[in-house]
Amino acid sequence: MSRSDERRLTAALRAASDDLLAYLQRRVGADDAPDLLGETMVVAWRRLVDLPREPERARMWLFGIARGTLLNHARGERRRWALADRIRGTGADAVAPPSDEGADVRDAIDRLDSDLAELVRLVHWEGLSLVDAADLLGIPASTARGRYQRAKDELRVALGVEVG
Amino acid sequence: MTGDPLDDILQRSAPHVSSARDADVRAMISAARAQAPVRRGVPRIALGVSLAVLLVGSAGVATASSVWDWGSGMSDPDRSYTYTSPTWGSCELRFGDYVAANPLRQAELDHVINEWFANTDIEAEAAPLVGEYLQQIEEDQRTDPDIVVADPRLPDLNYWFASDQAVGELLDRELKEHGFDGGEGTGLASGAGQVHCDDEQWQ
Repeated sequence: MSRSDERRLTAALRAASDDLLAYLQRRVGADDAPDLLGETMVVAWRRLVDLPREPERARMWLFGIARGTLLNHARGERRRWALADRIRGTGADAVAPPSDEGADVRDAIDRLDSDLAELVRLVHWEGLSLVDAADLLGIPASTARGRYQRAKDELRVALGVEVG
Repeated sequence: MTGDPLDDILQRSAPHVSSARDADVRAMISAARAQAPVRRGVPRIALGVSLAVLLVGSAGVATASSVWDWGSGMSDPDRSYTYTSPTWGSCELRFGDYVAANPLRQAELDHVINEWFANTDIEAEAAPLVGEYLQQIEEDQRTDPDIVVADPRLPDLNYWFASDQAVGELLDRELKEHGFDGGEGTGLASGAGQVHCDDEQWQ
């Protein structure tokens, strides 16, 4: 490992922070997400030796760490960051008022099996490819393709959307 | 675009999110770097972010340099840089455990490093970089005065980190000129660093 690793991680974190924060906000809300972003960064620094060389793989590596913090969060782990308050404050000003737009769709996604729902969210909310989403979830791409197709079939029925 | 109306519907269903200011992100990256606990003697950059463990490892012990327990790979006193810390007195920053990705180039790598330390006026070359790093670190920390700037160790920790970064950057440049740039198969696989100050107070 060399100093360039530190520069690469700093660059990767800066490049991905908006997307990571959005991912975390969509899973746990605007209040807790900044803390999890901080946790993601701490873990990334701790695991610097594992940072992939290719920028896109580094980005997905960070998403994987962020997902780990989400799982810890779901188990009840909480850690407050003073620095996160600044981001929380920014968010409070910047977030649009709650809207019903898409609420019925989100409800339909929530009613899917959790494995299917998360796949749909990763692809359509976070903009990940199916392959990247599969990697993040730790499942084979072929499994992800099957689940994704099933999820869309169920959503079509639930939302009354014809095949395009 | 897939042309599938369901795709558009799903895309538009994403909950609203907000983004963070760049300055806040940079401050968080710096704070995270300072909080990540790493074992002593681990690769240099990790060490650079490992204040906490170094603190614990040497807590309350003002050990003389001669008997200081340098980490694995840090035994060569010729690969060091000495600076004066704001309150911790004279500090020795050692660089070691540099491993070539290609074992056949290890001797060449060692030669480059040894020559650089022996023939470079490191203090003169590092001075402007230390200033730049210090300015950047302090600027980042100003965004969170409550938890960071209040730490009385901060001037010494910042100076250590800035020195470590500066000398490391210079050495990296030299290594890069000799083909040890971290490239796959032929570059630098690892490097580490450790600091010890006469009057260090890690807690």
